Amino acid sequence: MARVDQRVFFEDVEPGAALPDREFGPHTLVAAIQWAGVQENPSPTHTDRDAARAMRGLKTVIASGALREAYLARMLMDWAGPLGDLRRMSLRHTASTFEGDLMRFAARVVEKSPSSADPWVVCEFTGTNQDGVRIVEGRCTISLPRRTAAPTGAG
Amino acid sequence: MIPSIENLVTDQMRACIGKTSPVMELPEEISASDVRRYVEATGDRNPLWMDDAYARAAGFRGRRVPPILILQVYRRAPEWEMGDAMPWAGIELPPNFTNTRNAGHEVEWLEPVYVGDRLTIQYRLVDVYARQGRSGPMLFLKRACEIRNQDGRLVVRVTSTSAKLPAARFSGAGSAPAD
Repeated sequence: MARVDQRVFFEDVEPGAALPDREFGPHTLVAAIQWAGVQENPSPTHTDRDAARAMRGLKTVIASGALREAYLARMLMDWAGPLGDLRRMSLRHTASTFEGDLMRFAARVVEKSPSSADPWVVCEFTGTNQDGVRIVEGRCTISLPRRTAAPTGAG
Repeated sequence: MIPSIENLVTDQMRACIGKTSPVMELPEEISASDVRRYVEATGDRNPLWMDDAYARAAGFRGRRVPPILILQVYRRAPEWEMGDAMPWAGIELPPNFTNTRNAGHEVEWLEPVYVGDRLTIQYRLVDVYARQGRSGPMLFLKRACEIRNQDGRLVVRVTSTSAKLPAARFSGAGSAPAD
């Protein structure tokens, strides 16, 4: 039977706690095309360098905002899961990710539920590129398991 | 009448709050192939998305659909763009308020979505309000996209806000029309 490896519990987390930083990328045209297939969104801004230049005056293709959200969600779920869960998220895209750019995400807990009967935390997060330019910022609510409620892995 | 915060939101607009679009079905179930290609595109090899036994050990019915992937499949609904245009809400906007700006969105994941689920989407007008912007009063339309599974359970809600404001005015004296 599969064993569940839960590292973070509601009791252990306090406001101010930082999640492990994560870095993704560099963003590639191949990743953009794979994502365009997943999203069924053939936008040339994301997949066609010449069109990105001609239509939007961009130096090259830019990443879909949803693709960046996918990396961010991976960071959050890798921290909270498998028993914790992303409940709510709001964010602003503040600068583009160009082909070749890195995406570095940082997050920290800013609020904790007053009741362990409803074990959530609120995190604030930011994303920056390799030059320190902020690319995304926002907040999310994550539910975390309580130690007493955690299932043990089967022997 | 010069628009102001007090008069911008009309009784007609308020009466539209709560109106919904038709329910739109996605053309097919969310498949293991959808999830596999999401994993390949993002590198997110979380066993919750890839391994039924692991997902069940964590208390789920089976392999889960990654949270952000759920948000992408709504584009498969035949008329998903009506979420932005909102003809179903029947709002009578002030005639010159043709400029639209995205004012943010929030996602709520209410219940897990599983490989094999069949989803529907429906839009609902949640609120209409006015705020003072830099160049005058602005109208805000808040709508929700409600995603339900085959059991009718609300699994995800995406609340989007758009700002409506007058088309860009030409600078200059008086209020003469641009053309």
